[in-house]
Amino acid sequence: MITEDVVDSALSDVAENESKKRPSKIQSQDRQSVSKSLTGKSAIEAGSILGSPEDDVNALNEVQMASPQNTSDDDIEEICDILQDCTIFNGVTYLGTVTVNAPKSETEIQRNMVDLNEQIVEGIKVSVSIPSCSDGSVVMYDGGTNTVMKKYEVCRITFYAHGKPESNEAACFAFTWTHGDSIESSIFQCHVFRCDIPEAGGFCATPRDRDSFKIRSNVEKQICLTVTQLASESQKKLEVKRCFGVLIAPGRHVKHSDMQLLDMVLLGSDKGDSAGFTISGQWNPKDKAFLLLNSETPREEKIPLTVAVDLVVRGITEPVRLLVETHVKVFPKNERFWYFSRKTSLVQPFFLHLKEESNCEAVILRDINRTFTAHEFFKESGGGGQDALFRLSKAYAAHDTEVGYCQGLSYLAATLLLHMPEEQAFCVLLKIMYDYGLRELYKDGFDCLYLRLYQLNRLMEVSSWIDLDAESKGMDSSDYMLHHFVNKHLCVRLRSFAKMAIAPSIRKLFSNFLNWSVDLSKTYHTV
Amino acid sequence: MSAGPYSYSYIFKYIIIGDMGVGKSCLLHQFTEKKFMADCPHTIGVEFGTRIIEVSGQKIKLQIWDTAGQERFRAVTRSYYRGAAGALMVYDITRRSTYNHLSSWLSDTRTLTNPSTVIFLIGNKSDLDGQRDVTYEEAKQFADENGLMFVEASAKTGEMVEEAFLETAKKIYQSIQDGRLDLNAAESGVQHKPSQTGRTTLTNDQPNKDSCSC
Repeated sequence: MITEDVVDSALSDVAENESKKRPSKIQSQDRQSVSKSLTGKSAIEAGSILGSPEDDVNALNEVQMASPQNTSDDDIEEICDILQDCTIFNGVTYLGTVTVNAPKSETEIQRNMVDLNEQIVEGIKVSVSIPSCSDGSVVMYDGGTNTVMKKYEVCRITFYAHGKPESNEAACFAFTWTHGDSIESSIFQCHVFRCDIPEAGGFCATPRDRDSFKIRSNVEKQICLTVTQLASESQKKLEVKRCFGVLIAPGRHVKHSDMQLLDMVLLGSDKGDSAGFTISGQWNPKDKAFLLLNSETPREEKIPLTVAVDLVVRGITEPVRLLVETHVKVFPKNERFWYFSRKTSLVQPFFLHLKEESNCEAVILRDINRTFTAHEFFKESGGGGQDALFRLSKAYAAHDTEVGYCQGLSYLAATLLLHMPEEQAFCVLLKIMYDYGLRELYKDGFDCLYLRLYQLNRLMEVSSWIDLDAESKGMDSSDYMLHHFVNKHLCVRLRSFAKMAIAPSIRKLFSNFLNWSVDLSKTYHTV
Repeated sequence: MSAGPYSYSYIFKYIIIGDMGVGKSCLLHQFTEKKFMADCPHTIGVEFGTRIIEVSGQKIKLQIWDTAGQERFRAVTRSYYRGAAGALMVYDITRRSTYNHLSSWLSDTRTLTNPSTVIFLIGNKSDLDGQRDVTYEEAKQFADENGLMFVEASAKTGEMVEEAFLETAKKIYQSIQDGRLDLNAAESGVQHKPSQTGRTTLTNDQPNKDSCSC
């Protein structure tokens, strides 16, 4: 199975708009668009213009490129049984294991690679996750079900080697892993893998760098484009009647005469309203017209590529040519691209920390059945809300050993839990605590908190400009904080900043005071 | 396998099959390492082991494929049967279910190997006689009815382990001598490697020590 590195990146190519037979007489407009990743495939999108004297329409082109490899239309399922910051390699075959006596012997490991590679035809299709730090595990997942088959702790891996280039084992790699807990009882197992990404059999999406497609020389290629009309209320829906040509040429601002017509594979199909009109064409890389696209690109360089489609659009008399510019990088034919997905979310630490022991557990337990107990969600002792609160507080305490669990934190945690699942709440909590400085307030001794309260106190004393409501007059800052902020506003605050029932000046004051609320909605969305 | 002279004349391919947890890997380990592995990791797919033994003065390299017993790997492990000269079919004498499944393992073996493949039935964990769930007699009868060789062995103590592997090899070697096993057949599970005289340095007289990873 092959997956793609789906990286969201913005590509702001400006496409020209010309009709096929007449040079552009149609008004054009520059647009930018942000690319989105397509399921299981890489896609680039470039804003391009489709227009006519009557319609000023913006269309969005999606370009996909493919080179022959195993086709896999299946979405690669999220692999999340073991949460660690890691890189996952798909399309690996597990050949098997051999017990060895000399775990650090290159000769031995090579010999085992030879043996197993020679003997095992099928092997087991797996994905291998390599952790980004040494305290993780190499995890082997079943290629079909993505369930965890085996974990190999990095600290127990003594040796790694890969097959010699040009040999039969060129696609193999192996490591020795120590099994057992004592020196006497432990054995060394050499685990052998093969990473064969088949060369033939259909097409698969090519990987891409930030802004360029990575293609290989001398491999037959296919390019897929999707033409979609950007949603607009004022414009009428344009119907692409047909496509009669896909053309490409290396370079930018290429002359029409230099564009090469490709063999059409798919003449275009309209998959419905939103899916757009899909077209694909094929080209033989060895054709001399594509020479530049078939010779290796020097490192750090990329080749511009212009792609055009000629369309007949209902209601427009002249055919319309849409142009998209992109970049490609050409690699040697035998280049093996790593198909990996990278996980760096904060969600992983949450699950990891959950498993950790925390000496704060007793304190947390004491607090959870008295946090927002009036609220439906937290009402029940031992209910889902309280459970989630316990886990979130515990995970945080394990994550932030300096603060650990501080009484009062449960209110913040509980508030978050009212709005989002616990793993997301954990991410937001981390953001609030670390990036928005709230953590300082909870730190040992509460120095920062006292300072802030003092500042607030002074402000309340001196500033008539703070429009306190009657109830709050005469309170000192800490009371005010407790009364208003914790009991009344914190919950509301997260849900809708604008709806806060306190005067704008106070709101501003709070913003400065805690200096995190302003951007909180943003944080929530980016998690 | 490197080219050049070999320290052995034949390679016999063995497979070890049987339910999960019957001790297949431990048997292999006991045979190749002369050690009992207490907390043996469960096998994924296949574990590969080798050891050079001697039968009738001939050095024979046993190439042993220890398969995963777990049902989910059954499809994969079936691909290892092909070309096996010997099949060690293992059950656990303390767990009746593993014995009851033997007919299914046997039919797999019969279907996927060739008629000359020697099938050896091993009742493992003979050291746990107190927990016995399958009598020697009934297993013996099952073996006889199906033309299998049979011992009860213990991967823990090492009892009869060596014998099972060696007896299988002898039987295979016998078949070669009798001409019942065609060396040229693609899936005989036996490779003939004429050893060169004069290269005795490579010959290993203590096969269980270093040769296991040849």
